[in-house]
Amino acid sequence: MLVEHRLPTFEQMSESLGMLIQLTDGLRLTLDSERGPTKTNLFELRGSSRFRCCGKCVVTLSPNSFQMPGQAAQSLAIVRDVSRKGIGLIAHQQWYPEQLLNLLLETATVEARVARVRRAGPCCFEVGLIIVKHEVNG
Amino acid sequence: MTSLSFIPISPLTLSNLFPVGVDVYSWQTGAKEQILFLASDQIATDDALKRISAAPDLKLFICQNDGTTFQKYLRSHFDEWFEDDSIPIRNKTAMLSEVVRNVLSDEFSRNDSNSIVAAAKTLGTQVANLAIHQSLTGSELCHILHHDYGTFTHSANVGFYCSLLAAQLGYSGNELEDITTGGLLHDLGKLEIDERILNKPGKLDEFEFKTIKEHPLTGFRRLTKVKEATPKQMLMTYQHHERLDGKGYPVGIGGDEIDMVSRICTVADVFEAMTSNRPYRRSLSHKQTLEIMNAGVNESFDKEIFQCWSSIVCRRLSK
Repeated sequence: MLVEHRLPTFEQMSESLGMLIQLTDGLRLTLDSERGPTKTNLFELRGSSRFRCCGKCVVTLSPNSFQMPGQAAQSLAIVRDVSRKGIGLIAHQQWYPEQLLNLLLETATVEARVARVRRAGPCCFEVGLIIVKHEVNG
Repeated sequence: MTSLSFIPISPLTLSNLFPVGVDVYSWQTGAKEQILFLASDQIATDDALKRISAAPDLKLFICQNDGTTFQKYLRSHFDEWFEDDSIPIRNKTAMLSEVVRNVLSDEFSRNDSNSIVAAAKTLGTQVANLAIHQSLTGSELCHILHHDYGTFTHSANVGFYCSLLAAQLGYSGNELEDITTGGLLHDLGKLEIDERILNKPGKLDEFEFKTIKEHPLTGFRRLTKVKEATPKQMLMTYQHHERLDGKGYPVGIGGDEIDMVSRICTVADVFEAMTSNRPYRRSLSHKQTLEIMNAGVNESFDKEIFQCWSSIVCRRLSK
């Protein structure tokens, strides 16, 4: 009997990983209320506008990247904003600058490089990434 | 005395076996000018060495132009001195300190990350080998090391302190070498900051402070591109300005989220910075520094690591 081997779907992966982020009250509020383009200021000039959104994504450390001690190679994160060149995540664990991550979203697969990380609270990190390449899921 | 054309050297680097190869001058506090202490072809006698060690306000200098020759003298004899059990550990430390400062100064000015990490690894191994001789106290080490302000001097000193502290905390072998190398590399990111900001005597403005705060991130980024760099060295570079209460930078992590080796580096880094002369202030005494740091325990520093460092330094102070 032939058994068809398929890659796990986005839903299957996100279900098995589970959401481990402890959202802070402030972040929960902005996630619930903010949508659309974000404002820029003198200290935060950007080449392309960022759009607030709220979705899940499966984050996997690229095999081409370095790994730091204590990091899980795969986890579930929240996509907080996207722009033409970058993507902002909320993650439960700390990722490190220059790490290369593969992001599996519901509709697309993205390879991105970590640019900055900021701790928002326990098990809650805001991660800014630069998109290296992306493709729409078939 | 013209400080521009002379550089200070430690009297402990003089040997009663070989000539230094450069003229060595002495200068007594309050004197109008320096006098010749040892001609380039002369070997220091035991009496001369005793005389200099008995006079703490007598300082030795060489001409700035002779710096390269002096380094050749140190490097060519270092290995045999290192193996010679009759040479006191204080002298070996002083010689190694001169070599470390000079190599780091050369490498930092060349600004090639691969070469800096390779050199730091070699130096880290030698410093760690000295640190496992527990007879040297933190206070003695402070007296031996130079305390002028320069990124390479600061990095060299932090490497020595990290080594002594980590050895006291029980690290040994490769781990100890790794931590020592991390201490030598921790401020790598400062190489990308304009010297006018680093050496500014006055208060930093918002932009300058923001620039300074970038150095753990830029240092870490540089190390990610160097194959030889280890995770411990990378963490020490990235996290040495994080605080236990989460109010540090660049990430704002706190408590156990900060790696143990980074917490060691923080204590060594702050102690070194406060006990050294800076463009904007004079150095503080060891006692004052430990008192100020003690007030920051549990907010800025790990209590156990600070207490360990304090005991290393106080062992000497109480004698």
